[in-house]
Amino acid sequence: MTTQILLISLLVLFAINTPIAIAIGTSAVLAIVLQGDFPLMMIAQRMFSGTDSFHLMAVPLFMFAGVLMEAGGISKRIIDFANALVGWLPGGLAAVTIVSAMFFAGISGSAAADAAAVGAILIPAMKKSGYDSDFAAAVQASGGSIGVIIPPSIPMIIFGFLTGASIGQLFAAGILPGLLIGFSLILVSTIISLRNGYSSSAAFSISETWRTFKRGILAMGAPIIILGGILTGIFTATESAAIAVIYALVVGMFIYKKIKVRDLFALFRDGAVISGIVMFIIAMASIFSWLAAMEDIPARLAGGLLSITDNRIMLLLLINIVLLIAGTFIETTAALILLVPMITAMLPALGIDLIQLGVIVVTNLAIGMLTPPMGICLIVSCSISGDKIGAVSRRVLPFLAILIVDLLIITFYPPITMWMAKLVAG
Amino acid sequence: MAEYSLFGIGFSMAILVAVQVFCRYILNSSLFWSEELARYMLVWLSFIGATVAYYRHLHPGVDTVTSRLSAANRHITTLLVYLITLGLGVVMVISGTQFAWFVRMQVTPALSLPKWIVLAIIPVAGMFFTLYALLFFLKTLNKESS
Repeated sequence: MTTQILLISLLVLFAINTPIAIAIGTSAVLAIVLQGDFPLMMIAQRMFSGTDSFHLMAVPLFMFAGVLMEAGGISKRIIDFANALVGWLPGGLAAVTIVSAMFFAGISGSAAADAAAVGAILIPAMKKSGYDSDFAAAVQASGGSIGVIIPPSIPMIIFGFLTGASIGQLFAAGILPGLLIGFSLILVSTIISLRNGYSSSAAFSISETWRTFKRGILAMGAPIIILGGILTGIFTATESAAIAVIYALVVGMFIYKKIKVRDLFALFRDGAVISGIVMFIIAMASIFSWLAAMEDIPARLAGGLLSITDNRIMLLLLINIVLLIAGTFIETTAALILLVPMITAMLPALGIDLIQLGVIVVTNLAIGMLTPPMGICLIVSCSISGDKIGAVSRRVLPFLAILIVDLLIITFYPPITMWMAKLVAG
Repeated sequence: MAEYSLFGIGFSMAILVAVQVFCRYILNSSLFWSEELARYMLVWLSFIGATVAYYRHLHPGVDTVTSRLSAANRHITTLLVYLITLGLGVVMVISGTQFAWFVRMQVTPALSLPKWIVLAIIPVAGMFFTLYALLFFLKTLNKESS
């Protein structure tokens, strides 16, 4: 009975556009109240234990770091360096967008922040250089999705929080897949640009590359601190996030001198509000997932999938399909909390490492970020470019196709994730 | 008020975790209370942030179905969603108060803070959700009649 109440009310609440967190919380409350097996107090207890976590502290801290770096003038320097690196390619600005998104992904943990920071500068620049507006938005949306695969990554933090997987290892495992996806997106954007006759944005020059590299070195220092600290085991993910905040403050306030003391209030407030949205979904979903676990729903769903096939290749494909569909309809955090328990229940049958599974899950959800209706990168890019979501979605298709190929490589070729992960002590 | 507390909590949380690393590596002595304090700051930050985000209509939903409805029907679903939120806010107040009352004698392990103070943020956030939902409901209702 509880199972039916949970699932049916959730679907109805989603359908009438109830905010995700409120929909998940309400369906859990309905199930508790209608069944009467548990005291109402459990709701507050679960909401508290869902947010009371040292690991999850990395969520607001990486949000702060991202907001501060962007305000500190780091985006501009990253873009200049990216332009010197790949601007000479046909469709130079499109490639610059993707490379900038990759660098920015190494600072911020959120794909939406990634798309917004880079897109605000590069989408207008592409339009001015004669690129189709919907293509410009599509490139930005696709590039933004790398934000959650190249560490730091908020979905990976949440995956680690849910499964107990080492967040440091997850971060390490995301590096090579992030590079693979970045380069394959550049390949697609270059082919499309050749066809459409989009020209390069800069001639290649070693001196220019060196000059912009020097100007941007402090900006690129952040990923080195974050990753270096985690990979060598000096910091936990949460601690590296706090160090990144301090680093961004020092660089933005005292070196680039772009952030004034009076700006701090708005920057921290904005970072906290975005974190509040994610954390509220986690709080509400922890009531839901606790009830679901009581009802054995994840194991039953996993059993359902296992009864379809026990071939591990088919299973992995099946999981990818489920995640891709879920990622298009449900917001990332919610999708993680609702689906990860089911997927990890199948881990023995899958015969892969939990860390690799984490990267597979996050990659799927990242692809979901550029497909309508719930594609956050798509929404952000469209709001910058002023295009209709439908028009941009069509231009996203070639990028989507190559992303699926990348996903299959990540799924069926373990070394791409595990080789780096094994370098990190669990 | 809420926005200043977000800045205050967020900023001090970052500093606190950084100081914790500093103490461990440079001073070679770990602070025993910093992790607990930072965790409780996260709980407060989460609920205050969520409340401010609700006030600004920032919590994402799925509008695939409702965007295809007629304006009149969409008006009804909007009102319904505010009522649902109001209900959830009330549940947060009741359940949060019960829980805070239940642990009223407990103190936190490291800092010996009364635990109910940490938990009080849940009913307080619930109260604001209830108030804002009511406000939005009445505003939307008025828009129809005018």
